Amino acid sequence: MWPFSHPTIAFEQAVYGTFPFWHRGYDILCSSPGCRAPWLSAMKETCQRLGERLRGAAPPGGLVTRWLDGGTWLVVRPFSPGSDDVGRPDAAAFHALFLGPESARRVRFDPFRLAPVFRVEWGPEATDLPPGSVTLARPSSQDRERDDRIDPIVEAIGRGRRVLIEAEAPIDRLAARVWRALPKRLRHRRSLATWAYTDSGRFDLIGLPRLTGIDVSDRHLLVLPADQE
Amino acid sequence: MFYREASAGQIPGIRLAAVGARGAEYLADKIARIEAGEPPAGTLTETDLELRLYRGPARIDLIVKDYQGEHVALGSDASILEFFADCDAVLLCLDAAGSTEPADRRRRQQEVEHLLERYIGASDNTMIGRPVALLLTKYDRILAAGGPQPDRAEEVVESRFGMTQHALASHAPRSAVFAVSSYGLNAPADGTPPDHLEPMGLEGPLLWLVEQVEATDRELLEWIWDLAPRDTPRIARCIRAYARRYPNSTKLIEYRRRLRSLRRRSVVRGLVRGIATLAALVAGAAIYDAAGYHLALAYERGGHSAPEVARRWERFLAWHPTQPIFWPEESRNARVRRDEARVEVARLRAEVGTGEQEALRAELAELKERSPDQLPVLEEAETTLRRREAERRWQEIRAEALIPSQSAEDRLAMIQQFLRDDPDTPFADQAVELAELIRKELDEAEARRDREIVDAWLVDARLPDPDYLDLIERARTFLEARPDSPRASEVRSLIDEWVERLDRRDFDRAVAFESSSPRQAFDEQIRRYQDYLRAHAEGGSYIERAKQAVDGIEQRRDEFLYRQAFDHWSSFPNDLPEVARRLRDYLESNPEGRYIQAARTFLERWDELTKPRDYQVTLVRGTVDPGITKTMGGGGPDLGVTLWVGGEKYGPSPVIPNSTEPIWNYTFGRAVRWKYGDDVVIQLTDHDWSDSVVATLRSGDDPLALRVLNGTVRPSRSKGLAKLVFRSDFELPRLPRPTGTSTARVVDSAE
Repeated sequence: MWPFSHPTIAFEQAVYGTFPFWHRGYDILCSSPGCRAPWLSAMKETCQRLGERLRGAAPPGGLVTRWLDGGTWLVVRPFSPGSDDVGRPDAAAFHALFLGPESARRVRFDPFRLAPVFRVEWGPEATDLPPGSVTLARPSSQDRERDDRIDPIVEAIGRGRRVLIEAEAPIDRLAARVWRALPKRLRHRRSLATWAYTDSGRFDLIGLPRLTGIDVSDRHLLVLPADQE
Repeated sequence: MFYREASAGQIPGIRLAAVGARGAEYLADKIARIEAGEPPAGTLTETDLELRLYRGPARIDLIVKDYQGEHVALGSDASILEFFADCDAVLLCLDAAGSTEPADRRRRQQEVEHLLERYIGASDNTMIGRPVALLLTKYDRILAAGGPQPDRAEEVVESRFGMTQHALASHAPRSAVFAVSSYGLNAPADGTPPDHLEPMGLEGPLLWLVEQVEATDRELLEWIWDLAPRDTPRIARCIRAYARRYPNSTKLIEYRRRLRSLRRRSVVRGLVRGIATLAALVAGAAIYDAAGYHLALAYERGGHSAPEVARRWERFLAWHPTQPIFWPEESRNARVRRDEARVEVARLRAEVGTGEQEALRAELAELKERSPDQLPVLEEAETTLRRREAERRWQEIRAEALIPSQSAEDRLAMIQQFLRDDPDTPFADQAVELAELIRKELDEAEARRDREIVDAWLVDARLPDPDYLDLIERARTFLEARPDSPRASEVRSLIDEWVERLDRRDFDRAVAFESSSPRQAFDEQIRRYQDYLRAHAEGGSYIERAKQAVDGIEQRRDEFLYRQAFDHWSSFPNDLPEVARRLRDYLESNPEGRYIQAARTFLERWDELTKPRDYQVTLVRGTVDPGITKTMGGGGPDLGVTLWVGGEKYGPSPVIPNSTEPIWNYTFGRAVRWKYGDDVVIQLTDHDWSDSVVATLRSGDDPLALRVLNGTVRPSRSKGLAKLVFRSDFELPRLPRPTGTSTARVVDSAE
C-alpha cells in the first residue's frame, strides 16, 4: 500500500491493425499466449466500432476501455502506423491490454494509470508477444484546474446516461478527471473511448469529432460541445 | 464513385441519392478525399449505406455495405456473408490490374467462387438465382498498358479471371461483365487520384442493375401469379410492393387490370359457390325433413307404446325445425300425431298413477288447449287423476290418524283442506267423522292445558307474599285468549279473590309502615297510602280509611313541624334565626296548616327586626339607693340617663335634682334606630356638683338588646341598688302555643 509498496500489475496484450509491412489488411499482428479467442474477437469488434478516420479529424489516439465477459477489462490504445500494405493512408492499429478482475481492481479501474505501458512502434518482427507487467507509479497530483463539465458528466454517467463530447482531439485529460471523480463502483462498470469517429460502440463516455447522425434530444444522452481540450 | 457520378447527373437516366445522414456523411468524406487527391483509406468499419436509385419509372431502395476485404477472405465467417445471402443482385469487383501472380489471382477468384457456391447451395437447382455482374476495376490501367477496349473486357476476363468467367457462364444466366475506372485515363501510376477525375464505364453497371432488378421483380410476380393464381390478397400485396418500387411503370397498369379481373372472377366464383351451397343446403334440409317424417310415421305404425311414439314425435319436431317450411301439411300431421300420443300417454299415466301429479295436471291443461278435439279423453283422464289423488290423500290422512306425526291442529287442517279441495269425495263421511274425533281430542287437550295453567297459578298464589298483580294479569290474559274455557268462571273467581287480597295487603302494608316507621317519616307514610290509593283507585275497599290516614298524618306533621319551631323559640328565645328557619320549613311543608298565620306573623316581625328601624323610647322613672349617690347639694342626687344604641348616643335625659326616686316620663327626642344584633348601653349619671356615673348597663351578646328598654332595668354594676324603668314601642315576635293533644316537647337531632 502506498507509499510503502508499488503494486505490480500483470496483463495479457495483443496488437491489431493494418501495417505497411504486410499484405493481410486488418488482422491480429501478435498476441501474448494467455489471450483467449473471445478476448481477441471482442477486441477486434471494439476497434472496428471506433470508426474510420474522417477527413480533417485528428488521427487515432486516446484510450478505449470495455468490460468483457468474465470480468476481463480491455484497455486499448489506438494509433496510426501511417499507411497500409497497399499504400493507403490513415491506416489504424490498436495495442490492447487484457487485465483480470484482480489486476483491474489494483489499478483502481483507472485506465490512465496504464498509459506508460502502451507502444505505437511495431514491426514485422513482433510475432511473439509476452505477457506484460507494470509497476504502478505513485499517482500524480490531481489536476486541480476547474472544469464545469465534470460534475454534470459524472452525474449523467451515474444515472446511466451516455455522454458524447464533440472535440477536435482525444479528450484524455477531461476523461481522466471524470474517471477519477466517478465512484469506484461506476468505474468498474462503465466503458470509455476518448477518441472515436462514430458512436457505433455506444461507450458511456466518448469523444467525437462530429455529431452527425446523433439525436441530441435523446434523453439517454448528454451531448457537450468541444471545450477546453 | 457510383454515388458521385449518379447523384450529379453524370449518368444519363440514372439518379442515385443517399437516404441516411450517416451514409451521406460517409460518402461525402470519401468523395472529398478522392477529389482532394488523397487515396481512400482501407476499410476498418463495416458501414451500411442506404441509397435510392431512380431510373425512369423505377425507384429502388439499395442497401450497400462497405466492409473489410478480409471479411470475404477464404475461411472467414464474418457477418457480411449473411448479408450476401439475401442480396437481390451482386456486383463482383475484381482489380483488373491487380497482382500478376497467378496464385494471388486464383485466391481472389476462389473467394468469388466461395460466394457463388453459397448461392448455388441455397438454391433448389444449380443456378445462382440472382443477377451477377463482374466489374473489372481500375480498367484505366489496362488501357494504359495497351489492353483491349472496354467493350472487349470479356477478353481480359477470359485471360485473367477464367475461373470466375466459367462459373458465371455455367450458373448465372443473367450475368454481365463491365470495365470500370473511378479515376479515368489520366490517373497517375502510383495509385493516387488524379487532379481531374474522369470516371469510366460506371453507367453500365447501374443501368444493368436497374434492368435486372426490375426483371427479377417481374419474374417473381409472374412466378407468384402462376403459383397461386387465385390467391387474390397475396397477389394484391405483391402488386402494391411493385407499385411502391415502380410507381410509374407501364407494366403496373397491366398488373392492376389483371388483378381487377382476378377479383371479379373471385367474386363471381364466390357467388356461384354460395348459391350452390345454399341450394344444396335447402335440398338437403327438405330431404332430411321428409325422411325423418316417414321414419317417425313408420315407427308409430310399428306398434310401439304410446310414450315411445310421443317421444319419437317430440324428437322429430325438435330436430326438424324447417319441416313447416318445406312440408307444411306433413308438419301439421306430425304435431297432431304427437299430441294424440301425448294425450294417450297422459291418460295412461292418470290410469296407472305414475308420474308427478302436478306435472301431469299441467300437461293435461296444456293438451286441452292444444287438442280440443281430444277433450273427452282428457276430462276422463283428469277425473281419474282426481280420484287417484283423493285416494292418495285420504290414505295419507288415515295413516296420520293412526300414527300421528303432526299436531292435532295440522291434522284437522289437513282434513278440512281435503274436504274443501274435493267436497264430492266419496270419503267425505269418513273425513267428517275423523275430524270430529280430532276436535274432541283438541278440546280435551285444551282443557287439560287450562287445568295445568290454573293449577300453576294456585301454586304461585300459595307461596309467601305472592305477586298478585302478575297472577291477575296472567288470569286476565288467559280469559282474553280463552273466554270459553271451562275454567273461565273459576278464573274469574280467582281474579276477584286476588284483587281483594291485594287490596287488603297493600292497605295493611301502609298501615304497618305507619306504625313501625319513625314518627317524623310523614312523607313516606303518606306516600305509602297514596300508592295504595293509586293502585286501588278503581275499587279499593280501604280508600276512605286510607284518605283518613293521610289526613291524620298531615295533621301530625303540621303539629310536629310547628312544635319544632315553637319549642326552639321557647327554649332559646334569642335564637330567632333558627326559629325563622324552622317556620319557613313548616310553611313549605304545610302550606295549608293550622299555624300558618302565626308563622307568617312571626316571620314578618322577624324580617322587621333584621332591618334598621326607629323606635320611641321613654324613660319613665328610676330608684337609686342613697348610698351610691352624692348628697352634697341638697338632699339627694341629681340623676340623668344617657343611651348608646348600636354605638350611637341618645340623650342625656333631663336631670331630676335631689331625688333618689326620680320620675322622668321623658321620651327621647330622637327615635332610637336599632336592628337585630345591635347592642345597647344605659348609663345613669349623678350630676350633683360633678358628673359621676352611678350605674351602667351593657347588653353584651344579647342580639335582642333593645328589649331592655321596655321594662325595668337593674344595672349589674349597681348591685341591685339602682333600678330604671323604660317603655318603648319595641315588641318581641311571639308564637302561640300549639293546640295539639300531644304536649310533649319535640326534640330534634339539632338539639
